[in-house]
Amino acid sequence: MDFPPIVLLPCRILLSLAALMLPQNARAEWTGEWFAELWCRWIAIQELGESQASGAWHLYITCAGCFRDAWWHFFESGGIRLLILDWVRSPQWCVGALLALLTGLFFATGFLPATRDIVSPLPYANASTIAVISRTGRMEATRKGIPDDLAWQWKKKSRLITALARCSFPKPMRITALNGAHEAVAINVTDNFFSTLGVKMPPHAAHQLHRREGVWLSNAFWRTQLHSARGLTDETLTVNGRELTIDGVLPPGFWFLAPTVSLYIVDSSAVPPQSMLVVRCIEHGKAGALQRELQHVAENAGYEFATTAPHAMFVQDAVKTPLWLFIFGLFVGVVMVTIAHGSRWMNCRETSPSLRANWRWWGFFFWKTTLGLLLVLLIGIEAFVGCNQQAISEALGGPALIWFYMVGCTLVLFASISDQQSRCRVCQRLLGFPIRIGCPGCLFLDWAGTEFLCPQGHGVLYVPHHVTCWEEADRWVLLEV
Amino acid sequence: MSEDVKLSHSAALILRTIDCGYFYGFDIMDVTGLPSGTVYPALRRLERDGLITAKWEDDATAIAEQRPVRRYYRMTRAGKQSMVRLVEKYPLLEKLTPAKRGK
Repeated sequence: MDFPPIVLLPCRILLSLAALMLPQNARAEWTGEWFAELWCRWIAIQELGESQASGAWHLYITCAGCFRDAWWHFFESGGIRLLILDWVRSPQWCVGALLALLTGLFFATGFLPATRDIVSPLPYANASTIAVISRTGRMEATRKGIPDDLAWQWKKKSRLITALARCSFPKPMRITALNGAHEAVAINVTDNFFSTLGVKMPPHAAHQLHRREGVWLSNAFWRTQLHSARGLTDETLTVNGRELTIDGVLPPGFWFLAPTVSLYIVDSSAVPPQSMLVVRCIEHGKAGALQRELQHVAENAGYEFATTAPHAMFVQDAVKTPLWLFIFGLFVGVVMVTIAHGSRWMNCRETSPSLRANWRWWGFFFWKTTLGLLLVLLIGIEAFVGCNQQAISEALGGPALIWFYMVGCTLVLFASISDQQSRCRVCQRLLGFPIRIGCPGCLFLDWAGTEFLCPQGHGVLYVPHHVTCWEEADRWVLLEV
Repeated sequence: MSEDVKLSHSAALILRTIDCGYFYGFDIMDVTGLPSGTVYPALRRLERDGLITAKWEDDATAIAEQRPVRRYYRMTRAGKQSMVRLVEKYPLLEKLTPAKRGK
C-alpha cells in the first residue's frame, strides 16, 4: 500500500491526541481502524470527483468523532474512577485540599479582616506608647472600670503618662440612620480620645476631630451598613433613641479595642464614672512599671484597692497576643506528640531508598503540617478575635483561644504524623489494598497482621496486630473456689 | 447475555444495518446518516455485549482493492436473536434500513 495522502495528516494528529485516552496496549489497533476508514473515505471522495477542499473538510468533521469514541473507551475502562482514586491518594491532593481550605477561609471571612488588623501597623501615631488601663480582679479575670477621680489623680501625678482619655466598654446599640435601623457595637469616649491616640486623618477632616460632641463612624460600618453614602457629615443619627451629629467617617484600617467596634460616640458626659482609660506613655514604658506607679499613686491619694488591681496593657503587645498563644499551643502539641510517639514515628525513614525520596518525604510532611497549623492559626484569629467585642481588654481572645490553639495544634500534629505513617515511603501516596494475614489465635501471634500495598507498587507495609488479652473472651478462666 | 441487552433505537438501527450487509464503520455511517461519534461508540457497546464481532480483513483483499486494511463487523448468533426481537419492538426499523446486500 502507498503512503497515506498528506491531507490525512491532520486526521493522524487528531487520532493521536484522542488515543491518549485509551490504554497504551489498545491504541495502535484503535488508531489503525479509524485511519483505515478515513483513508478509504478519502479514496471514495476522489473517485466521486468531489472538490478537494470540501472533501477534506468533511473528512476532518467525521474524524472529530474519534474523541467521542476514545472517551467511551476511557469511561468504559474505569479510567475516570482510577484517575480520581490515584489523585486522592497522592500527596498533591492532600496539600491541594489544605490550600483550598485556606482559600475558602480567605474568601468566606472577607479577606481575613481580623488577621490583617493584627498584622498591619496600628493606626495610631507612635503606637508603641498607647496603653489601656482597667481594673482586674485578683481572683478573676473580669475587667472593671477605673473611677473618674482616680483617673485624674493618675493623669496629674504619673511620670509615665503624658496624655489620658476615657472610654466605656464596648456594647451593642440600636442605630437609626438613613431610614434604616442597625445593630452595632459602640463605645462612648471623651473629647480628647482621638488626640490621645493620634489618629491620622486626612487634612479636610482633621478639624472635625476636635469637636466636643458627635459620633464617628468606622469605615467598615460606613461601607457595609450605610453603603458608602456621601455627605453624611453634620447629618443626625439616632443611637438608642438619642440624636447625635455625625462628625465623619474614620479612615480605613482604624480600629480600637476590637475590629467590631463601629461607632465612637464623643461625649464626655456620657462616659460612665467607672470607665476604661486610654493613655499615652513615655517612650519605652513597660506595663509592669506603669502598674506599679499607678498603684503607688493611688495609695498615696488614699485610694485602697480591695479585691482588684490596676491592669495596664500596651496595645501593640496586646494585638500580638494571639501569635504568642499560638506558639504556646504549638509547644503543647509538640510535647503531646513527643509523649505519645517519642521518636518512633521517624523509624520508617530507615528504609529510605534515596536522598531524593528523603527530601520528598520531609518536604511533604513540612508543607502539610505547616498548612494545617496555618489554618488553625487563622481560624483562631478570625473566630475568636474578629468576633470579640472587647478584644484588647480581654487579651485578644482570652482562655477560649488558648484552648483552641492547644487542641488545634495537637490534632494537626497527630493527624499529620498519622497520615505520613500510612503513606508509601517512596512516592508518598496513601497505601491501600489491605490484606489481612494470619490470625490472632495462631501460634505465631506476632505474624498476624495487615499488609498495605503502594498503588504504584513501590512496597508493602506490614502492620502487626497486637490484640490485648482482655479483649478476648476465651482468655478468662473461671476458678472454682 | 443477549436476552438482557437493552438497545437504544440508534444501536438497533446500526445492528440492523450490519444485518443488511454493511460491515464497515463508515459504510454504516453513510447508510444510517449517523455521525461517527455515535456510530463507533455504539459499535463498541454491541461488540462488548456480544451482539457483533469485529475482525481485520485479509491483506490480500485490501491490496487487490488498492486500499488500507479495514476492520469489519459481523453479527453473532446472539445478535441475530436480538435482531428478531428488535424488529418486533421497533416495527419501523425494517423500513428505515436499505435492502440486504451481498458481500
